[in-house]
Amino acid sequence: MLHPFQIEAVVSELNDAIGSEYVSVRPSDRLIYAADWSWMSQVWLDRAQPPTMPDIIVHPGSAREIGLVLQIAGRHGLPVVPWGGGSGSQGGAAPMYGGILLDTKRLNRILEIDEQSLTVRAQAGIIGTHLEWALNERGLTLPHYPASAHCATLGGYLAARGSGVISTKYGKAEDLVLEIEVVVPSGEIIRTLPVPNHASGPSLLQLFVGSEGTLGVITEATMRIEYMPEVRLFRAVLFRNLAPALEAGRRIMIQRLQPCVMRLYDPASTATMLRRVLGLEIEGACFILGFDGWSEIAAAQEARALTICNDLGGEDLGRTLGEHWWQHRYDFYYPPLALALPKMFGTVETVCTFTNIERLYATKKRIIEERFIKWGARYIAHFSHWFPWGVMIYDRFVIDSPPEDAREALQLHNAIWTASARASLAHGGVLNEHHGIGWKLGRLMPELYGPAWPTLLAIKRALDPQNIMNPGKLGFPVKRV
Amino acid sequence: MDDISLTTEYCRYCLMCRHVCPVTRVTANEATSPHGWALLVASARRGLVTWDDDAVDRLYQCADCGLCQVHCVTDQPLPDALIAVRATLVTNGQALASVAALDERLRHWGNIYSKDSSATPIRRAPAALLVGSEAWHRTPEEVQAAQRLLNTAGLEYALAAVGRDEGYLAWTLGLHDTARALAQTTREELTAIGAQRVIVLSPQQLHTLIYVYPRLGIPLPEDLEIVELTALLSRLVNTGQLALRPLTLEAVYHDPAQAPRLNGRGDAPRQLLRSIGVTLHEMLWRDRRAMSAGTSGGLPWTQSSLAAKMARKVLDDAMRTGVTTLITDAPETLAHLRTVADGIAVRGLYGLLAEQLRSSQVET
Repeated sequence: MLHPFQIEAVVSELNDAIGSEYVSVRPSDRLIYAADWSWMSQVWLDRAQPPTMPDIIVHPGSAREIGLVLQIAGRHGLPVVPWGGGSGSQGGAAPMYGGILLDTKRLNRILEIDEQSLTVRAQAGIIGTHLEWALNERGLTLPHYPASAHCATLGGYLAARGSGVISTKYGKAEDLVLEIEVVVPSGEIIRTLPVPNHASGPSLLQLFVGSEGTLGVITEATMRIEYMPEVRLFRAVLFRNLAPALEAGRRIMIQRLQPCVMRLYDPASTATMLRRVLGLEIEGACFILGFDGWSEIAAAQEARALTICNDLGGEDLGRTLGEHWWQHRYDFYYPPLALALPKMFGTVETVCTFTNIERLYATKKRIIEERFIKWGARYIAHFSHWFPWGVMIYDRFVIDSPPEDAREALQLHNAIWTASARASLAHGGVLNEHHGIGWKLGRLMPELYGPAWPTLLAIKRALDPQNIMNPGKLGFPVKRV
Repeated sequence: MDDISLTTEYCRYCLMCRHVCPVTRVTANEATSPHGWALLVASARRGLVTWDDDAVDRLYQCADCGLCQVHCVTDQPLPDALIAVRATLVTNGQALASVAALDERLRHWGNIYSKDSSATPIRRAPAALLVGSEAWHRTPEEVQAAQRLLNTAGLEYALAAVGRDEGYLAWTLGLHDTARALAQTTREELTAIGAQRVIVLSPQQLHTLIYVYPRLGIPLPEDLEIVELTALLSRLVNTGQLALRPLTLEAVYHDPAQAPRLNGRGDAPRQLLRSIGVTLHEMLWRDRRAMSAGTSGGLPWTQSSLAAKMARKVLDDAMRTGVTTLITDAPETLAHLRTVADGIAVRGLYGLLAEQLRSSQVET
C-alpha cells in the first residue's frame, strides 16, 4: 500500500501523461479490480476478507500512453499489472502487490482486415466477441472460440496462450498470431517480425506470447482469420468407458481427419455436467465430434470418424445431441450452471502425449479422490484440445463443502493444485495447456523447467531490470529478479 | 436469500454479458460493468463496502437497458436487482442528491421539467395515445407528427399522460413510491378514457407498461392492447390504410433503449423505412445488441457526462457506416441524441413519415 502522499505524486504524473479522466483511485474501482476471475480472488472477497488492491487504476488509450505509464511506474518502482478482461482463472491479473493496474480495454479498435491474406490487425484490448461480430459482418471469423470470448480480450488470448472449442483444427491463440506490438518495461514500443514462420533468428513473437504481462504489455496483434465454413456438422457418440473413446480420438487425429471439435467427456463429467447443463441422461463417455468446411469434405471426414468410433464400440447418438451441445457450448459458464462458490473447484488441466494420457488421467483421479477424501473431493474431466501427438485433459476437482475459513480454504486449494500438478509433471505433462500460470502455479515453474529455469529468469531480468511487470506471476520473484 | 440477493451473488463473478453492456463499452471500466455492479452490491452485503458517495455514484451508472439480462442464458434479472438496491438507498436516505431533487419535481409536477401536466381534459375513445413527459416537453413536433399519422389513418384516439411521466424514470431511480403514484394516475386515466388499446411512442414506454407496472403492483387490465406506434404504423402501411410518398435517403436506424428486451421489435421500423424507399445501412450494434444511447436508467439526469458519451458513441457507430442521417423513433432518445449530434442529422421516425403523407390525405 502506498502512502497517500506517494499516491498523489504518482497520480499527478499519470494525469499529465494520459489525462485525469483515465486515472482512478476511487475505492469502488480499487475493490472491483482487486479480484480477477480466479477462485482464489473470489473466495477471499466471498468470505468478507479485505483483498489486496491496486493503488491506482489507469485506462490508457494507446501504446504510447502505456509506454508513459510504464516509465512512471519504473521511476517510482511500482508494480504494473496488465488487465484485459480479468477472466483468467490463475490469478494472472490479480494485483497481489498493489501498484498500478493497467486496463487495456480502451485499445479496442480494429485496424485492418486483409481479405486477401485473411488476416486481421486489431488493438489488444478489444473484446473477443466484438472482434468476432465485426468479422462475421463480412462472412469471416477468427477461429478462436474460448468460453471467455464475451469477456476476454485479444491481448488476453495471447498473454495466456488460450485455446477455444475449435482449436483442434485451427490451432490455439499462439498458432493464429502472425505479429504483435508490445510495450516493453522501458516504455519502448516494439514489433515482432511481420510473419511468424521464418528462419531469421529465434521467435521474439513467442517470447511475449504466454508471458502473462511479465515481460511487457501486448498492444496490438495480427491474427489469421478464415471464411465462415459452408457447413458445421456435429455428432455425439457414446462409449461405455473412456479407454476406447481415447483410442478413437487418437485414430481420428493420426489419420488427419481434421475435426474442429473433439470433446470427450469422461463418465463422471457425462453424468454430472452434461446432465446438469444440457439435460442429457446418458451414462458412459460422451464424445462430441464436429467437422466443418466444404460440405462434401466435412461429410466424408465425419463418416470416416464414425467408422473409427463404431469399430471401437461407440454408439452414434446422432446429430441432434451434437448440435445441441454446439448451441449451448457456453452455457456451462453461466450462473447457476457454472461451478461457483461456495464450492471449491479448480481446473488442473494439462497436456501430454497419447502414450501417457491414460495413466496420467488415472493417477490424477486417484490422487485427488483418495488424498482429499476427507473433503469429499470429486474429479471430473474432459478431453477437448487434440493434437497429432497427444491431447489436452481439462480435468477439475470439486469440493462441495470446503472450509469456511478463507485461509484454510486457500491452503487446501493450493495443496490440491500442487498434488495434481506434480502428478501431471510425473507423467510427461506440463503445468498448464491453455489457462496459464498466473500466481496459482508460479511456485511450480522451477520444477517444470528444471535447469532451463535460470534462462527464463535471465530473460526476465534483461527485459525488466526493475521488476515492475506483474510481480508474483509466472513464478518470477517479486522483489529482485 | 431472496431472489434479488441471489442474482447479485450469481452475477458478481460472471463476466458473460460484459460485452453487451453499453456503459462498459464507453467507460472500459470493470466497476461499471454488470459484474462490477453485482460485486459492489455483494461486497456491501459483506461489509467490505459502505454506501458512501463513491459507491452510490457507481451504482447509479447502470443504464438499466436490460442487455445483460437479454444475453444471459439463465435470464438473471440484474437490472431489477440493482434497482432494488437503489430503492433501498432511497428509503435509507443514501441515494444521490440529484435523485432526491428529481423526486421532488416528479411528485409536484408529474414531470422533471416543472411544468403543469394536467391541462388536457379527458375524452372517451377506443384508443389512447400515451404521450408522456419526454415527448411532450422535448420533442413536441414528434407528438404532432404521430397525431397526423393516426388522424390520416382514420384512427380514433385520445391523448393520455400529456406532459406527465408515465413512471419509468422514478422506477429506475429507485423512487418506487413516486413511480407507483404515477402508474396509478396513468391507469386511472386510461380507465376514464375507456381505451381498449394504448399506443405508446417508444419501447421504453412499452417496457414500463408491460414490465414495470406489474412490478409496482399496478398492472394494466389483461385485455388492454398495448402497441408501439411504430408497429401500428407498419401494420397500417402494410394493409394500405396509410399511404406514404417515396423518399430518396440513405440512413441508419437506431434501436432505442429497451428495444433489445423486445424480441423482433426491430423489424417494424426497418420495414417502414424500406417501404418508403429509404436505403438502410446497419450498425454493428443493432437489434438485440443495440446499445442504449444513454437515455435509460435515469442517466441523463444523474450521470449527464456518461449519458452524453453513450449518445456520442451511437452517433460515431452510425457515422462509421458512411451515412449522414440517423433515424430513431423514441422521443427521449431522439431528444438526447440531438444534444450531442455533430456531423450527422438525427431525425425522428414519426416526423419523417408524416412528411411523406400524400398531401390529399393529410389531416389538418
